[in-house]
Amino acid sequence: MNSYGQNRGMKRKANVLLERPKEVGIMQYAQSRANEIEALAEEIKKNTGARKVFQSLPIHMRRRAMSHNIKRLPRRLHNIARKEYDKITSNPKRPSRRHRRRPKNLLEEYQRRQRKHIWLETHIWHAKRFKMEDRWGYRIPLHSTDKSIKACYRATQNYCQIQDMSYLCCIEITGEEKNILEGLGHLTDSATGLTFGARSNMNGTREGHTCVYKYDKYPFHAIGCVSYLWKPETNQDESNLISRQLWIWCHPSCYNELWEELKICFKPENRDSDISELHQQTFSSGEITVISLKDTLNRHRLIGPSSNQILYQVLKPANILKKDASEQWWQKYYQIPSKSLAYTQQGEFIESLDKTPSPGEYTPYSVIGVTVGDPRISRPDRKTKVTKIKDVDTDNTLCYDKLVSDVSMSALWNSDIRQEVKATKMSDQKLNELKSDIMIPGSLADLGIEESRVPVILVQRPGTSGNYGSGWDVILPQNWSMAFWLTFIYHGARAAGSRDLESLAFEQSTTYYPNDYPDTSAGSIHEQKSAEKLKNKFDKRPPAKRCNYVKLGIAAPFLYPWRDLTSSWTDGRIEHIYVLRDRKCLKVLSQMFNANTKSINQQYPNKTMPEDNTS
Amino acid sequence: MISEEEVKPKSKFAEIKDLIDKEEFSLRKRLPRKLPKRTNDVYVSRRTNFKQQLERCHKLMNSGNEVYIHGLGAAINRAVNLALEVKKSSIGNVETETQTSTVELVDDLEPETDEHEPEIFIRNNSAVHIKVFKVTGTSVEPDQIQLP
Repeated sequence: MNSYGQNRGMKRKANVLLERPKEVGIMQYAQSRANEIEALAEEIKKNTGARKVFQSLPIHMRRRAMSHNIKRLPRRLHNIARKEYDKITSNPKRPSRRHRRRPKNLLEEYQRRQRKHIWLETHIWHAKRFKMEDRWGYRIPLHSTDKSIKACYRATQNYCQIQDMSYLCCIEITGEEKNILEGLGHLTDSATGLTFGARSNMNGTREGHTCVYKYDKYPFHAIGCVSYLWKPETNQDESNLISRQLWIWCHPSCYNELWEELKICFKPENRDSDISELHQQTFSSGEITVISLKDTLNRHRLIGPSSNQILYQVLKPANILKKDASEQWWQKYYQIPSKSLAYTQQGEFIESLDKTPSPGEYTPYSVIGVTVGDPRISRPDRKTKVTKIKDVDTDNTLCYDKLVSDVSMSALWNSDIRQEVKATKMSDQKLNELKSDIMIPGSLADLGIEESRVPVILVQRPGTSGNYGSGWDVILPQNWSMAFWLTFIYHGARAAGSRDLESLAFEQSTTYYPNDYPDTSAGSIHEQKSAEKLKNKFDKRPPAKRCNYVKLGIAAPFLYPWRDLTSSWTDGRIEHIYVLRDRKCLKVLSQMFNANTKSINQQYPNKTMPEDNTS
Repeated sequence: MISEEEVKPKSKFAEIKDLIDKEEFSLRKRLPRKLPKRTNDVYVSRRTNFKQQLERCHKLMNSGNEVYIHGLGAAINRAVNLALEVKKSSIGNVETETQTSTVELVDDLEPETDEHEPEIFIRNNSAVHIKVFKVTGTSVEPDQIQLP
């Protein structure tokens, strides 16, 4: 065996020798190796990664304080070390947390962070407890960080859920009623239901809802659903009767679109004469003025049967009848006898809240204006649970009595009063100091004239037929959001985010803007975003664990290809799709479906039905 | 005159029905007011499972000796049925006491077109409240028995 192996080795050696070069250029060989060695040496010298220069020294050459004193290093390393020091000094250390948390620095930081996405007034409260997301130009609370899906559902069913809806944008239109309606008539169509000029909403005792389209583009190019509120018509108003005021509340995702359309509606023909466009917030043409009240009004939404009791506990009618020498806004405002009469009626309404088991018993979308005291004074020290309703009033005439427009009137409509209420708010610190001075803790401090009076508007929301999802919207002046929010929470309301709003819409089987409006631009943006999210989630899974949509025969698992659907019906001649919102057509359709499947309960307000472009 | 008066309530109802048929209004019924509920109150509706409620009544009878069964409108039949069933199936002497009442119900007439004002229509509906309770022979106190 051994000899055999040796033989084989010999044979191979002979072969190798046969292939040897005839001569070796020593100089050339040494030159190329030298280059390689040099490159390697350079590579070693380079200080890469997080290692500092002094760390490359062997341990016996290391000295104390080498990291900041260059002269401790051997001279050959000075140049490299100097570069390193420069890097450190040009990129200074982040200031300490203590420094950063100083009130002035903290506020500066908050200002910087708010520049891109607007914060709600309750932002800091939410940011500590909620998952936040940038949506529609705002930083919006999505859902609570603790497990809360079931708790939120129960809150809407049995207790009270509260949402900060201050991101809804308000646009104020002032002018002659006829002119306003003429302009807005181009944006709406009566086939979709009530429009801005509905008689039921004109006197300002009810909030209206309508779908808005681009200028004369119905049924294509829907912008979105808006709610609107006319300023109540009162006889003894100081201003002339012809001029009316209208608030349009829209979702922030369609605010810019609506603003542009309003500009088209109310701009006169001759562009340079009448228009006085000061800045983006207002524009006027002739007698009509359009002002953006975006971020100047707050809106809290209370949902659930207990919201009545919570409102009763939080909203204490302010004392307005005390006559002092000083002239506060409420004293001037309530000088008119009809208004002070309305004040007592509003007080009666607040009293009735405690004896009514559900907000769904009031007239749908009714509007009630109230002037209340500072909510921080009556706030309990600790969070309390909602008390069970004790005595139910058997007489419920107040719930369905026709509202007088005086009762719906509120000082919140007046911009000067809004400003004054905002400016004269007592700081939390001062109020807490006053509270701590009281001998008996918890006793109500009667601050007299010092106490702020806050005008508030309540809007009823009826929910579905079983009273599920019924509640109140509370419209508050600027700066007061946090004061009311905390008081609501301390009286037992459960805070929720926009995820819970979506699930509420699902439970009620109503549509949620913008998710369920695929023909609006906000809706299509949402669709694309959610498709992207789903696709990413799908791609993250290993291929073997992915759902095989091809095999299951699902052509578009992440997106609704509306256009493909309609093109198969109409040989691809379509340009746009729209959602059918014509009430009469929908009624006919639902009758047709109900005739076939009577067992399926169908109560959808609008069904998505893509239609082809007739043009 | 008399005949006109007789027709009047009918005509109002017919008028409303007419308006709804013409698609100028839509009807929205509000729920009757919910009153505070004791543990032995049983509210009967057309949708509740009859067998389940019977079982519930038995349970309450065993623990508390009396049950109050309430039914409104179309559910009166079921409420009476339930009370009789409880009476029939329970061992011992079970008696019932019935009271009737009238409940005011509110309907909203929501306009479908811009020209109309919303209206509120109030109607009455009857309700029944049945007290089902156990009467044991020994529970009758001697002083309650009136001698002739």
